[in-house]
Amino acid sequence: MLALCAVFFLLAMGLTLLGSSVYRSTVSTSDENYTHRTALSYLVNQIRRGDVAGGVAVGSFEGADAIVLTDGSYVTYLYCWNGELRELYMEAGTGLIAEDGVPVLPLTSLTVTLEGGSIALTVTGEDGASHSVAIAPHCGVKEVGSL
Amino acid sequence: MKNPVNRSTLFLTELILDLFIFIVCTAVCAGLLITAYGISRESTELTRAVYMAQTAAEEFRTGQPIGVVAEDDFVVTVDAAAANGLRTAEITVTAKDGRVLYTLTTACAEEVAVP
Repeated sequence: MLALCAVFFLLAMGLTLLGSSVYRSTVSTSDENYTHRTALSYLVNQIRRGDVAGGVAVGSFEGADAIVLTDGSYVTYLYCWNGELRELYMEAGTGLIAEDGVPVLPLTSLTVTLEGGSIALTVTGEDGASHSVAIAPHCGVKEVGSL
Repeated sequence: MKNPVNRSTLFLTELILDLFIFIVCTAVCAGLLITAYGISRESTELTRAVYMAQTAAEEFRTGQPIGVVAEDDFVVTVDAAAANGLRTAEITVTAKDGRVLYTLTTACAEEVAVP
């Protein structure tokens, strides 16, 4: 009888440990996947939205790689600052700083490079894993250097 | 003469039956947990495959020559064709074990001017 109780106890403990481990792993993977997918989708769709002649540029904003979208006299900077993907929408020449950007979602780093007419975006989440995508704006993209 | 039923035997029998039911439930739960873990991994793979296919589609549209590209644990295959002024491509992302993760069909005009 004691053996049966011991078997019951061991099975219960094993199931609890397995369940908690799998749950933790599944939630962590889900969060990482969400961060990468959302960040890349957000950036790609913002670039497509601003895809007009002279509207898309790649540069550096206070040392961080940035995408610069120009719409008339207004400009939108997309960059990673202090562990967050941020969007700064302002009138050109206003002089706002990186800290003034609106946080979009947590992100460890964002790398933006120009490769033959395509913008290569690489995002790194808090787990350290990186995901990349390339997008070639129909109206071209220019490099503006440091902003 | 009837033998009186031993109470301990009855209790033991019930305990064994309960243990058996518990083992069945444990097996079902373990199977669900393993399935959840597998689905989670597939979701991550699919996300990466979609973005790799999107990248290949963008490179195809800009006219860059691409055929088969191996990256990490994935293989991106592009089957391009051109007819009637239209360039088409079928982009397939497969895992190293041969599973097809994502397929994307794209097309663009042959004369695509990229400034």
